[in-house]
Amino acid sequence: MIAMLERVIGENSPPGFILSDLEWYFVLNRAGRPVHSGGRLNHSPSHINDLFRKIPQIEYHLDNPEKSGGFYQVPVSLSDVAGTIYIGPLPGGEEFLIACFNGDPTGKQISKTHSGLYFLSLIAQTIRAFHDADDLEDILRIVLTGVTAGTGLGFNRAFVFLTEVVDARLCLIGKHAIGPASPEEAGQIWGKLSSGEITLEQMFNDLLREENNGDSPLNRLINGLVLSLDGHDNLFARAAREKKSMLIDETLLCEPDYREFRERLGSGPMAFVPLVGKESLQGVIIADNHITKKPIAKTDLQLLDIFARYASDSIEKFRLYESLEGKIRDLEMANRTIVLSRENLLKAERLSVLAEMAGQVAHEIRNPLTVIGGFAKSMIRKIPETHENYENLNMIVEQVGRIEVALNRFTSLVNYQSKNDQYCDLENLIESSIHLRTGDAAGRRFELIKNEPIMILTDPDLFRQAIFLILQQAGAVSENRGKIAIRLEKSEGRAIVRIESEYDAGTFAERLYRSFSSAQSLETTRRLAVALEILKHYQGNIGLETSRSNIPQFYIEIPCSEEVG
Amino acid sequence: MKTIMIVDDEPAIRKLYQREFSEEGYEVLLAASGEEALQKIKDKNNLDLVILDIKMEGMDGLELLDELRSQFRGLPVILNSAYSTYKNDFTSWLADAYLVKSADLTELREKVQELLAV
Repeated sequence: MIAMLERVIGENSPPGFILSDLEWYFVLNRAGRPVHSGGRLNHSPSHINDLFRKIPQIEYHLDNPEKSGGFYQVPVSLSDVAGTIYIGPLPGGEEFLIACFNGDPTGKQISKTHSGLYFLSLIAQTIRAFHDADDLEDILRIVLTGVTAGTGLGFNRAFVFLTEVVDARLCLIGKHAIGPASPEEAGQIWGKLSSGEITLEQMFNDLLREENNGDSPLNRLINGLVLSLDGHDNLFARAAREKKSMLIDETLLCEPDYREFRERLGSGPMAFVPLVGKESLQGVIIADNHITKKPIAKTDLQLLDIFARYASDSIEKFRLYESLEGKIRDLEMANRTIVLSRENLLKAERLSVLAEMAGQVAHEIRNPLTVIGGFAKSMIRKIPETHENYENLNMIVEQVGRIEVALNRFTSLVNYQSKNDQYCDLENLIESSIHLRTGDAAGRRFELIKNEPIMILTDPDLFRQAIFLILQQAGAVSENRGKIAIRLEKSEGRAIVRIESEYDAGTFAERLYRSFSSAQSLETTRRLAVALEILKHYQGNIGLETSRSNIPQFYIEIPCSEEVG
Repeated sequence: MKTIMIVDDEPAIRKLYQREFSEEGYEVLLAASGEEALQKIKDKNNLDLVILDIKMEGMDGLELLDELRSQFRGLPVILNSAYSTYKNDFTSWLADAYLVKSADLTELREKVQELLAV
């Protein structure tokens, strides 16, 4: 049809055309693209004037249209429809009426100005619609409507793909599509639209009011379609990487890698426009004229590219917003968990107090029971079985035994631990452990080498006790010779306490380490076992490692903690 | 004759244990508090074992245990309490044994024999 127009019009292309089979009409721009929706007329016009009266955007002055070369030459000028981009199908029918706008310079000038204004208007309306959008789905539908509406950019079909990481690879995932899936559907949709004279703004408003039906045939076409952005030669990857719009067609899509894409969307020609946000690539818009087969001009691609820039920013903002919303939801969930935990903790504390009281009562019973049962047993041993009290005493012992069993069960249930775990400065703990020993000569030999503050979670009394016992052993192992340095370090989330003797350092470290398993006396072994048990209780340990100068070093390690509010 | 000290603030317990261990052939010393026990232990040179209650007014059993460990290192100590919870206290691990009080004194008697046999 376009070729036919070009043949008729030749190089003296007027600013626009009207094409009609006297039942439908289409307004076409200079390039032969339908720029205004063709509307089904209620009745076949008997005169060309009847047709033009149906097209309010066209100003015309026509009493007797001239017929030349089989076509009417109608002097009309463009009004506010100039430059709009709409692709409408041409319904069947052999005979077309083609009316050409007159080619006077004023008309061309008006057309050009109107084109620019119209595009700005499209952008403004789209941005306004973005503001009213509730979610990313709305944004995508607005974008695609802007790309496909006759009063928008006028492509037949448009698809939006968004970037997502799938299996650690960045991909484009098919998200949304708008447009007819077949010529029949195109006729229905465009016929409905054209009869209502719907503006773009109305379309956006309707779209935002309506429930999103993501189950359209075209949506199903791209649903689950994944375009890999891997590989240097990958067409989509290159376009995305270079952030460059391009026209793709069957020559570019012939590789087997694009088979699924071809099968689902066809093989072009298509406009491929990256959606590049301020921070990163957000996705791509793919648009084509699959129904009308109208070629995509360079200017179409340029307009789509400009339109995509505005869309990209909004998509990026909404995706960031959604991501933020997700994080807020996670935080709210975490907060709810904390509140719940706090409530549980309060309950547990109350129960703990009750249990402690109950436990104390139980323990208080044990003393008199021990006395009653103990004396009864003692008396039984001293009297013969024939004694009149023998059976009575036996009954006392037996009943005391029963109560003791019940008490044991009960106290095992209410048994509680009363540790006083808190965030402590390791340096202070070590310092106070050393001070415990300053009364003797060995205590004065310890020297704490201070460093950055290190916090640990522990019961300070217990930890001091463990350090005290280890320092005591360190003093004994060093045989009271030379100073003993205590260095504090932080390494990979653990606090390291190095205990080094200036006198025969290697032997000192090895002897100190070995004494935990084989001390000279049972009592020392027991004390060090207690110290080690305290450390292990707080996920700590002792160790021996070789320094850079190849000298063994003894160290204590315990997890660092960050104090939380 | 081996000498055992019973440290307990409960007079009835002291009396019971005194009777039991005297009958077993031990010399039994009694103390009603940690302070009294410490003083008597210092005065008595040849004490062989201490049976020590934990929950007492003033110096409690664990504090006395700590003192005994630093002043009388080799002296065996059996912690004997109505409370089992002190087993969780690391300080109690310094004792040679921890037994919960019971009307059946068999376990206590056996533990005393065992520690004095070493």
